[in-house]
Amino acid sequence: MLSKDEILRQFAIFEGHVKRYDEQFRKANRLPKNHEWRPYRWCSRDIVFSLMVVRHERFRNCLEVDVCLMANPPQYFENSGARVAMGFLLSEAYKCGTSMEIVFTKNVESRMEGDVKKGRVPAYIYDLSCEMGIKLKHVLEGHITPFEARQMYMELVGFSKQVQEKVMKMSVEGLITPERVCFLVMGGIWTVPEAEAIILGSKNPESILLSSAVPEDRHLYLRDIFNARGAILGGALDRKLLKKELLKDGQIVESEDEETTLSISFDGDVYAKLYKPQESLLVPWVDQKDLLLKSGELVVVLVRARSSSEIIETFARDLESLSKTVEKYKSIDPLVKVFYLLPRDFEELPEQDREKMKQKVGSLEALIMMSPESVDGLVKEAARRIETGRMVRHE
Amino acid sequence: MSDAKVVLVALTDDQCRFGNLDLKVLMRRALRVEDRMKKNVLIEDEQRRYNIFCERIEFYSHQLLAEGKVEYIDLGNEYIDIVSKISNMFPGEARDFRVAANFCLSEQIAAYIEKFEEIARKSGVLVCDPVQTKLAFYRKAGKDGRNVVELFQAWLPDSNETKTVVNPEELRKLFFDLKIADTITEDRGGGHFVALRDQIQTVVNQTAQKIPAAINFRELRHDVIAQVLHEFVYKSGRPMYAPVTYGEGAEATPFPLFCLKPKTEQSIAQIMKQPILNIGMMTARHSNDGLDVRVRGYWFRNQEISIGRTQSEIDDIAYNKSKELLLKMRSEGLFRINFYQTGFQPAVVGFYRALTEELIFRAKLPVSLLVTPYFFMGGEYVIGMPWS
Repeated sequence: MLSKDEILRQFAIFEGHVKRYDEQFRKANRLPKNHEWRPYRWCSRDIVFSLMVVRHERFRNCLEVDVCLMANPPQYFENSGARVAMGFLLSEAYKCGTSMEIVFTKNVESRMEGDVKKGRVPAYIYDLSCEMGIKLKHVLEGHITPFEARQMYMELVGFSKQVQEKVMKMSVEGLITPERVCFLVMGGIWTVPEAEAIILGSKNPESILLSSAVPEDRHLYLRDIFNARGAILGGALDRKLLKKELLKDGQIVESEDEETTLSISFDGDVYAKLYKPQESLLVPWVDQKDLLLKSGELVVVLVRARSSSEIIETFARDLESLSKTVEKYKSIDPLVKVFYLLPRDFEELPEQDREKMKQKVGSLEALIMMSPESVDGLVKEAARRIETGRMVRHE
Repeated sequence: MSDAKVVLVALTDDQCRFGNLDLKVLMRRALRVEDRMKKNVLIEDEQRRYNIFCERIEFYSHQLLAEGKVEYIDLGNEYIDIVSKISNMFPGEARDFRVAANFCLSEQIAAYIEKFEEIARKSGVLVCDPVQTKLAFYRKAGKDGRNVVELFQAWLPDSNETKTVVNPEELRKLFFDLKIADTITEDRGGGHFVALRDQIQTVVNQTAQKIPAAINFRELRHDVIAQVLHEFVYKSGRPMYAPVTYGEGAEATPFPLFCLKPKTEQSIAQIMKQPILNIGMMTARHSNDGLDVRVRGYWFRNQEISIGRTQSEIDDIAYNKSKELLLKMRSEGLFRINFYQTGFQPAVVGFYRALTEELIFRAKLPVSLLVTPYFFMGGEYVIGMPWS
């Protein structure tokens, strides 16, 4: 924990930067360049997690940090301030095209060594690295090396062990760098579960993650779009299940950091999402409106982002997969609930066909789940995300 | 694990007509869009148009296939992997030969077969069943005067895939053994010149040790870029290509270093007798400062250079444009150019990369090209080191 004096001293430096920023950029209606000092404040509602001032130090090609204040509010998970700060610093270092080295100036948790004022890697960040089992070698010099940054980035994103191994394998094979995979998630292009669905559920995940196929390579582009739309449909269900609506004075209030406690994983063999809620919640998008999931119950959702013609064409094959999935997961947990998720295009089928399909799915002790998303919308969203990824650093 | 297969359908010209709609017209329009896409101008609009044409071609072909009215063949799910392999091995050629495209007009089938066979042979996939099946189908379609549409079909789970078991500990070790810098830099001061010099030297050293590193030119002064590059191009050392990146991180074509020898006064005596050609770097820049009056013409048209979405794309466009111009100049005699350089880092880097490669090509010939940079420095011009 920093002393009050140290916090006030860094806060004064932060305020100085904010003042300069206002004069140079806000009032001049000008945007700062990467190499200019930029102050940031990371908050959730009225809680400040971190105050930072950074710039791309173009001469050494590293990210320089002049202020790095963090708070660990007790109502959040441990080291949350340092997690927020490091998530931002690593992503910013990547975005600016740096070597991924992070340098803290003499203003960060400074001390005097003889006549020389020196900074260091902040104590909270050092604690976080210890928690992650990563050894930082230049704490008192105030540097995090690209090698250390890589390990911290991988840990911070929070991929499952299986996905981490797949990312490592792709890196070892020279297909993609781990920094790019991490940035795509931290930069908000894909969520962690969506990225996991891409990494575990596609034959060539690097092609989607690198946005390497362009429309004129039609087959390769369609392959990426097909895989991406599956991940996006699964992501839509994640968001629906995670969303928590709180009642306040009889009104529904949504809060940005209040989510259902839910573990999400992915089975690439059958292309299914696995959910385990830690609290009861209603199953969305099914005919039975009051179907409730109990805490600790395992839910398996076979994700099939298909158009109406594709649903007809592949239904028999999907039933086989569904049957295998039910069998596989019943042997693990007899109370498992299995669903077959389709986009809204399912509604375009004649009613009698839909009823027949529902009966067949029901005979396997599973239920059809119909998302409000359409395949057209999913394709557009997939193209948008792949296009956004094209603008992001590749190496 | 998702998967996909490709089905080929052969359509007669009559089958291509659906009332007012003719698939052949759509195919021709799509081909025109493909040509326009190569220029990279308004690329998003062109891609959108291309997608619409392809979707319509696919929609009607699917319809004919479902009605059982067309000849077809299933290439199976290995075909996409083969296309992917060819595209990874020869990205430029694969796109030029339309390896991953989804249609072929009857009149182009013979030429397509020839090119596809050539690239398949080069990639070592010619003997694969889907490739042979495709070639046989195309040959028959060509003989019957039919057009071919390649339909990509929805993915399906494939749990029979053989998984390679990797020892997690071994994998972790291999991952941590990947070459990446684990040292720290120090602030040596000295401004832009020293910084870029240091940066390039670090990249040279790390590249030699196979540690990934790249020169980041973003936001450095344009005169410094040209001068320091000149230093490293003409410095003695083992010739190499240094990786290049920009602020947004996109990787650009590597830059050749330690590859030219300074010319003696005697060797440039002939070219020094030539009249000077004053050329500005780019149109619509510093016209107010009298640049238009000073120069005879411009190397780049601003409109053509500013179309890249990332700095590396701009670098690429500038590089290719410069290569094209320098190639033309080879047959047009001696050139002594004063190059009025204004700032725009990716265009500067692209230009000097092409110039260096051109000078490498001309290295053993009598000096026929001499470029002297004149750096625009806020109303004044500072002379740089000549490139010959």
